Amino acid sequence: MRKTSPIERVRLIGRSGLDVLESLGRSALFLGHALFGRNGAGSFMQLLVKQLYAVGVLSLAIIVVSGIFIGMVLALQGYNILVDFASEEAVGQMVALTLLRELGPVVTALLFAGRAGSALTAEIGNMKSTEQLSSLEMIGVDPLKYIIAPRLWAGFISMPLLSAIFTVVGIWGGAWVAVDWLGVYDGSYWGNMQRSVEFRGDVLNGVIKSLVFAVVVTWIAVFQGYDCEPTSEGISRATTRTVVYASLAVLGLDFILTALMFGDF
Amino acid sequence: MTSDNAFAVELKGVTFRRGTRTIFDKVDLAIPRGKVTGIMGPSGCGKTTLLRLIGAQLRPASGAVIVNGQNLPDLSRSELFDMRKQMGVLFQSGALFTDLNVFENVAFPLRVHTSLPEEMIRDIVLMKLQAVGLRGAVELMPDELSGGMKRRVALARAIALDPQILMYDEPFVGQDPIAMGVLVRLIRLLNEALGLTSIVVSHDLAETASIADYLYVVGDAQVLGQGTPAELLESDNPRIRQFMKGIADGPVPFHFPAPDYRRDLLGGA
Amino acid sequence: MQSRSLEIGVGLFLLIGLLALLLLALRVSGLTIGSAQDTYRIYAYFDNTAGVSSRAKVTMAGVTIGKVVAVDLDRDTYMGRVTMELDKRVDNLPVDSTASILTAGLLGEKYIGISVGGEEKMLADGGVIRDTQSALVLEDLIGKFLLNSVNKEPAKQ
Repeated sequence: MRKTSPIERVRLIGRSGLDVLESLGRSALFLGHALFGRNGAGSFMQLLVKQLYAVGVLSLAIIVVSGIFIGMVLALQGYNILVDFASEEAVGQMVALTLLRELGPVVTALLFAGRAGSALTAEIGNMKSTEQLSSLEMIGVDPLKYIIAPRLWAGFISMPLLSAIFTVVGIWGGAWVAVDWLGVYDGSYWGNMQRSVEFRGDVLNGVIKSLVFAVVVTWIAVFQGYDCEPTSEGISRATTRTVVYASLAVLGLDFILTALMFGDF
Repeated sequence: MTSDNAFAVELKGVTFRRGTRTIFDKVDLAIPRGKVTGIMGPSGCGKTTLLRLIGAQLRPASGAVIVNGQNLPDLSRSELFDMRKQMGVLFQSGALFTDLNVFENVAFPLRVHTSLPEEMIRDIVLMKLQAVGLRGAVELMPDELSGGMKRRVALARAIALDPQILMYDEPFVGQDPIAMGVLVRLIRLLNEALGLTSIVVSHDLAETASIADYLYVVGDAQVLGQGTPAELLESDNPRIRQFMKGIADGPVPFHFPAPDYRRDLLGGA
Repeated sequence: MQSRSLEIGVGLFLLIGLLALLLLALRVSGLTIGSAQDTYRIYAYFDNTAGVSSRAKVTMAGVTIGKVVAVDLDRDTYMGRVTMELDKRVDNLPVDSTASILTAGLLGEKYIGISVGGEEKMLADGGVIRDTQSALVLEDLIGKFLLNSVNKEPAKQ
């Protein structure tokens, strides 16, 4: 508990600021190297397909199940509130707009960070600690191209699709609760929804959001794996960091994106 | 690409730091061509770092790392990747690609760097696996292999492209005596059969001394001594004697630097 | 090494994902293909635009034919100017058509309804609708009802 002089403290702040800048710069270079630049070994498509399977297909189950439940809960809660104003027909519109604009992209990104992101970090960290990355380098294959790039692209492609699936499943789950269970008229559930949902304003903006989240989450996951300390402790810490950083980044960015897209400036 | 130089690898005045710690301080080292050279030293003295410097995975802070007459720090990224085709490394853990089976692991460098037809690749892979005695294991996945077998597969992969220089990073660690015997024989055999330059980094004294033509002992960021195994055993340098004979206390102290023992015990009360 | 089932799984995943996007576009947002782009702009001036915001619907006979893209104040006349984008296919609106601000249900969103006039001349891109009916302000309505003085001059705000 040594007392630090004010100058010392300023110096420390400055240094930690520089550290942050440095790691930002390093991860940006990393992203650039991996995405642009000539391809390494083997057919890129083959590697991509493999990663799409690991990142996308294997996340499908959790996305579908969560989507159904979230849609059902939204419909139930929405109905209970709206029924007081005798406007329970608006429940379809509420479910659809909430899912399209916010919950679809955000919850998908959070689930994705937990399911696929942490797996990516652990996998790459493990490759690092078992010297597979070094070994690739010595064989003359750039691990950024062979290991990292396909995983990044797989994440970029998968997440918007997963988010769309999540939203669709949620809206249908909501329809099931509202229409079949609570007895909202079928026509007004869908009709109200179609009248209030706009393709460009809501659907496309949702897709854009989830694309942004895809880039951020995958980037964080892959970089944390690549940059981790190659010990089992280091890998577990990197995995935790992936989930924490990715979740915070998603929620923070969501506010900014929402303000840009739906705020009236 | 072969040069007439008697040394396949030369380090001249190489300094390397990790953070504030100096791992190597102006180290000079030369690896003779076509021989098995052992690099020995206590754990944590930077032996693996040395291999990474030769493989150009790390850059020295200063000094030259000359492989086949070319200074690695001067090479561009793509020239480096070309240079690495002439080197094979056997990593400590084998570093097999866990999602590929034994065949694909050995075939990997061939697929990356050559455009040979599939039958040719198959023949080469089987030949390399035969050399390490694991032709029967082609279909297995790495996690179905024992530690010693993994290392032998990795060795087959390292020689797939017929490199000129083969580096072994702690090949004997954690091996049972039989696997150890197999590896010792393989290293010697491959060196003679393929005319390789072998660099064995290890702290296993007996095994390394039994196969090496020439030994370096490193420690304290310096080369402590060099010579044939017999010469080093006779050395009167106390540091080398301690290492070669395995004495617990000596110039390398048994105790980690600490404040005075008695004061530490009594002062706490 | 690539197993077929893996590729099929990925193919299926991509297909389901694209299908979901398509469903969002067609079933959820009610997008009809090919109608999105061709629009033209017209303006309408209202005494009171309360409740109309950009992206509100513009309808005619209950059918959506366009949307509001901007609402702003005209500095000279102190009236609210609503900019609308209408479907190009509905290009036969007479210049004396009426625009009124309507409410979907008692508490629903505000939208603009256009009813046809009788002139021969049609509204073109940049045209202005003069004949407008302002938003119904509930407070005014209740006040008038209480004072039993409907039919007086409209409230200025």
